[in-house]
Amino acid sequence: MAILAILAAVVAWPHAAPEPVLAGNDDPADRTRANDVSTALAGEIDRHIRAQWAKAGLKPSDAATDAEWLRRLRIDLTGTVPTPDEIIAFVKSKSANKRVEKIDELLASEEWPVHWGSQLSAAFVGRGSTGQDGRGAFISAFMIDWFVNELASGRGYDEVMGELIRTEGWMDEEGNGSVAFYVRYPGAAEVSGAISRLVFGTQIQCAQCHDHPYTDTTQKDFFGMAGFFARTQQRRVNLKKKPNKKPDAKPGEKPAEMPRRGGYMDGGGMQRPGPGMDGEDIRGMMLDRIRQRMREGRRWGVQETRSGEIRIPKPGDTDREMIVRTPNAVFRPDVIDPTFIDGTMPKRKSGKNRRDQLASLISAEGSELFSKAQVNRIWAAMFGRGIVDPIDDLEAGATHPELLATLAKGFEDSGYDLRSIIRAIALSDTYALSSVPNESNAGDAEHYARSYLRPLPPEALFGSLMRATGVDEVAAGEAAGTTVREQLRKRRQKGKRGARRKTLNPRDAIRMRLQLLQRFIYAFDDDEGLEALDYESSIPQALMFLNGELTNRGVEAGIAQVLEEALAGRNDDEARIQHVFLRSVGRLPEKAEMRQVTKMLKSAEGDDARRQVFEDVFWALLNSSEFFFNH
Amino acid sequence: MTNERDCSCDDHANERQSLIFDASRRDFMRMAALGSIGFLATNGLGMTMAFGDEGTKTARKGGGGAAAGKAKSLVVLYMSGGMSQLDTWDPKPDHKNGGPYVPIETAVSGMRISPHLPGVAKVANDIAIIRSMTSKEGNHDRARYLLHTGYPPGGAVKHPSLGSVISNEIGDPDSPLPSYCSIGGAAYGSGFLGVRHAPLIMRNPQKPVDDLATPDGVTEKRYDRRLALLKMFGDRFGKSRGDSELVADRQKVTDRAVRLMRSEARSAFDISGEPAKRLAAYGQSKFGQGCLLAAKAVEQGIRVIEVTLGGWDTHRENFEKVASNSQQLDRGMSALIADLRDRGLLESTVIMCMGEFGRTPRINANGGRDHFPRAWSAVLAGGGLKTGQVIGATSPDGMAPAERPVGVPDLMATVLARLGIDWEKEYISPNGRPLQLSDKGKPVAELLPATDIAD
Repeated sequence: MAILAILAAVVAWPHAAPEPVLAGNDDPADRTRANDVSTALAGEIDRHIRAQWAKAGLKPSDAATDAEWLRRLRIDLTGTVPTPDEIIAFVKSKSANKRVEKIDELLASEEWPVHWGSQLSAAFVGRGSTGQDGRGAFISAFMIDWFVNELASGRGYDEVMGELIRTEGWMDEEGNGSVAFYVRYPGAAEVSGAISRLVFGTQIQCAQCHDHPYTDTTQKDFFGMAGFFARTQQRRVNLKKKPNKKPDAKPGEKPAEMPRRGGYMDGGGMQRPGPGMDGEDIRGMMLDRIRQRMREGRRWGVQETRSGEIRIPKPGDTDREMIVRTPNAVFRPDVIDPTFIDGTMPKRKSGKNRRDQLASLISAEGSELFSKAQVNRIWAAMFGRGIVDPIDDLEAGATHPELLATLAKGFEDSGYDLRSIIRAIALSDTYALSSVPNESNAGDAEHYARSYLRPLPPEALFGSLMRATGVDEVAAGEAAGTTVREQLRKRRQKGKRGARRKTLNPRDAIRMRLQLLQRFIYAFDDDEGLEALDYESSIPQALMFLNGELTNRGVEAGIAQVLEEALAGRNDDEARIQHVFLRSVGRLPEKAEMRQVTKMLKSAEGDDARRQVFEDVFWALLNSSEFFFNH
Repeated sequence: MTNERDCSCDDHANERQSLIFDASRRDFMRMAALGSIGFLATNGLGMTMAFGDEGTKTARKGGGGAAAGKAKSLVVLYMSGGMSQLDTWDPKPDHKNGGPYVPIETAVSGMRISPHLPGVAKVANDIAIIRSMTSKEGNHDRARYLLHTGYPPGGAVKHPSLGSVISNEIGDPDSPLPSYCSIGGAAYGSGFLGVRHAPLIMRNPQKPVDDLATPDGVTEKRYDRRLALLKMFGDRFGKSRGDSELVADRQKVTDRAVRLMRSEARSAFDISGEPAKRLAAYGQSKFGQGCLLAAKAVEQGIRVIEVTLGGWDTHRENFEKVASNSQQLDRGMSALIADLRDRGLLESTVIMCMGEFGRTPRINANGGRDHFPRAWSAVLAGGGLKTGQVIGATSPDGMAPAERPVGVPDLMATVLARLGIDWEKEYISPNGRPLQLSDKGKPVAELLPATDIAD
C-alpha cells in the first residue's frame, strides 16, 4: 500500500529506462489528443512569456545545455538526478526529437506517478510529521498511495479530485486512500477550507472568524462552502472497544477484526514496482507496524449522512453548534444553504448528496477556478514560482493572467490531464533557458527570463542522493529477484573488510529518509496535524548533510562503486573524476576543477589516501548548492 | 452523529515518535572530546582557512545592541494548540463556563489561578497576567502566524517573527551561537530578514543538535579539505549564477554550522552535565528539560528562546488534558523563574507565556473547548516588568474582554519596549512597504518602568 509508494521512492528503480506502465484508461487516442494540446500549449507559453520580456526590457538567458536540461527535467518529473549513463546517452544522441522523447519516456515511467503523487500528497495532507495517536504517518502513507495510483491510472484529474471530494469508507487495509484526506481535516470547517484552497485555489479560512479584510470574501461565503460538508460524518473507532452496532454508525460493511493480510496492503494498490516490492525484508517491517497500530484499535473513516445544516455560529459558540441536525433544520432562518465560492447554489433534490454536488462543479461552474488552481500548482512545481504566488490563492493575482487562462483552457481541452500541462511546460523554450543570468535578467524574479534556482523538495533531495550514491542499485538488484538479506550476505561473503558498512541497505534507507524529512519538517502538535516545511532555518539541515550518515555512508558506497565496480580495472583517473562529477552535479568538471583534483590525487600516497580524495570531492559535490538546487 | 474530531491523545505521543521517526541515536557525548579550539588551518588545497572560535566562558555577554537597564533576553513559553484561559489564568468558578476546578490563592493577594499551577502561584510576584488579550484569528495556522509575527497572514510579505526581529535588533553578530532558538516545536522564520536571523530549531532538549561531530573516520584535516572543496564548488556555482543570494545564504548557514561544531559555546545546548539538583527542579518532561535548556541559553547570551508545550488543542476532554499540561507548565515555568532569579538573570529576562488563542468559555458536548480568539490570557514574567499584577479582565461568562483589551501587537510592543527596542521602528519589506516592528501596537504601559516609554 501506501508505504509501498514510499518504498518505491526509496528502492527498486532499475536504472534502465523503465517500461511504460500506463495502461487501463489511458487510451492511445486520448494520449494523442492530449499530446496535440500540449504541443500547441508549449508555443503559447513561449509567446506569452516573450511578450512580457519585451515589456519589461528583459533579454532571456541562453538556452540550457542538454545536460543541464536533462538534470532539471529529471528532478522535476521524477525527483532524482540522472545517472552518468543516462546523461552521456542523452548528450550523445543525435535524434532531433530527443527532448520530446525524454519527456514522454519520463512521463510514462513508473517514477513519475510516484514522485508527483508524493508531492501532491505533501501539498494536500502534509508529510506526516505529526498527528495525534500516530495518525499523521498513516494519513500521509495512504494519501501518497492513493495519488500514485490515480496518477498512474491516467484518469482525468477532474475525476480524481471529484473522487477526493465524494469519497466514503475507512482508512484501513482495504479502504480507499482518499479517505485519509477527511481524516486529516476533521470537521466541516476544516475540510471546506482545505478543499477551497487545494482544489479551487481560493483562501476562505480567514472568513471562518471574520470577513476577509482585503477581498469581498465574507463569513457567509465560508459557511456556504462548509454547507457542502454539513452531512459529512468523520468517524473514528476504537476496535478494542465493542464495535458500535448502530446501523448508521459504520460506513460500509466491514468486519471489526482486521484481516491479517489484506489485498490492499499486499500490493493491490501498488503492483507496478515489480517483484522487488515483495521483498519481505523491506515491506514486512513497515506493514507490521501499520498492522499493529490497527490491531491496537484505531481506524478512521468518513461517510455521508442524510441530515445536517450549517449555520453561522455566534461568537463563543462551540464548533459543534455550527451544525444543526434537527429534522427541519433546513427551514431555520439562520441556516446557510450550500453555496459554491462563486455564488452558485446547486439545486436541492438533484438526487445527489451534498459532496456529489460540489464534486460535479469541478467540470461545470467551478471549472475555471479548478483549472487555474491546478495548472498554477504544476507551473510552480516546474519553475519554482507560481504564475499566481502564493499558490492556492488565486485572489493574489497572476503575473501572466492570459497565460494562466490559456493553460487552464488547455487543461480542460486535454481532458484535465496533468501530464499534458507538464509536457507543455517541459517542451517550452522558456523551460529550457539556462539558469546563468545575463546583465538584463539577473534581477528578474517573475518573468522567467532565466531558469530560477529552487531547492529540491526533500523527497527529491533524498531520491537524488540515493541515485547519485548508487544506493538504489542495491534495491534494483532486489527487484531482479534476490532479497535484500541475500544481497547483504553476498556482499559480506565477498569478504571485504568494512563491506557491510559501505552498503546502505533499504532498511537503512527508509530510516534515513525519515531522518531527512524530519530535518525539513516541523510539527505544531495540534489536533489538526499541522506542520511547516522549512528551507531556511537550516543549521540542523546543514549539519545533517555535512556530518550525517546519509551523505557520509552514501559517499563511501558511491565511491566504492566508482572505484571497484563502475571503473574497475581502468587506470584512468580523469575518467573517474568525470564520473564523480556526472553522478553528483550532472556535468563534467571544468579544467580548473580537474586540475585541482588531479593534483590532490598525485600527492595522495596509497590506495586509502586516493580513495579519500575521491570521497572528499564527492562529498563536497553532494553538499554543494549545485546539487541542492534545481537550476 | 456529528463531526467527530480526533483529538490530541498525549499518552500516545511517545509511541508516535517512535513510529514516525525511528531515528538512530548517535553518541552525543562523543563530541565533547573533539577539538574546540580556534585555529588557522592549511588545508589540503593549499588554501588557508580561518575557523575562529568565539565561544567564551563568561557567564553572560553584554555585546550586541542591548541597552543598559533593559532586558536582554526573551523566553517564550509557547502553548501550542491554544491554551484554555478559564482553566489556567482566568478562572471563573462562579459561572457554569468555569469548569470543575477550584482556583487557588497566589502570593499576590486577589490574583487567583488554576489549582494545577501551584508552583507559579508561589512566585506570582514575578508574573503579570493579561486577562484581556483579544484577537481575530481562530484558525491554528493563521493565529500562530499572528502570535509569532504580530501580523495576520496574507499578501506577499513574509513577516519576520518576533524572535528574528529581536535577533536583528540586539543579537550579537559575532557569536557562534544563533540569537534565536526554538525548542520542541516549530518556529516561524526570519521572513525577509534573512538566514542570519532564522531560528535554530531543536527537537529534543536532551539531544538538541544532531550531527555536531565530524563523520567517523574523517580527521579534522580531511574535514578542512572537504570544506575547502565545498567552498570552491559553491563559489564557482554562486558566481556563475549571478552571485546568487540563495547560494550565498547556503554558504553562510554552512559556515555557521561549522562554527557551532567547533565552538565551546555549543555546550550551551548540553544539559546532561548539569547538577542533579538543577535537573530535578525542572522535572523530567520534555518541556521541563526545554526550560532548563532555555535557562542555559540565556546564560550564554542567546536573545530569544522559544520552548513549546503542545497538546493544548483540547476539543475533547479539556479538563483532563489541561490538568496534565498544566503540571508540566507549572514545573517548568516556576523552575525557570527561580533558576534565573538565583543566577541574577530574572531581571534581564522577559518570560512570555501564551498560545495562539484561548478556548471557548462554553464547554462542548465532548467535554472540550474549541478555538476562541476573542478573549484569552497571556502571562509575562521577569524582565524588570512591573509584575505581581493582573491586567484587564473578561466578562463574568468569559465571552468578551470586559476592560483594557490588549491586542497581539500591543503584547509584542510591550516586550520590544522592555528589550530596549523601538517598537515603532519600521522595516522596509522587499516590495517597498514600510512595516512597523509591531503592527501599530502600543505597549501596555502599566507593565513597564516609566523609562521604557518616556518618549
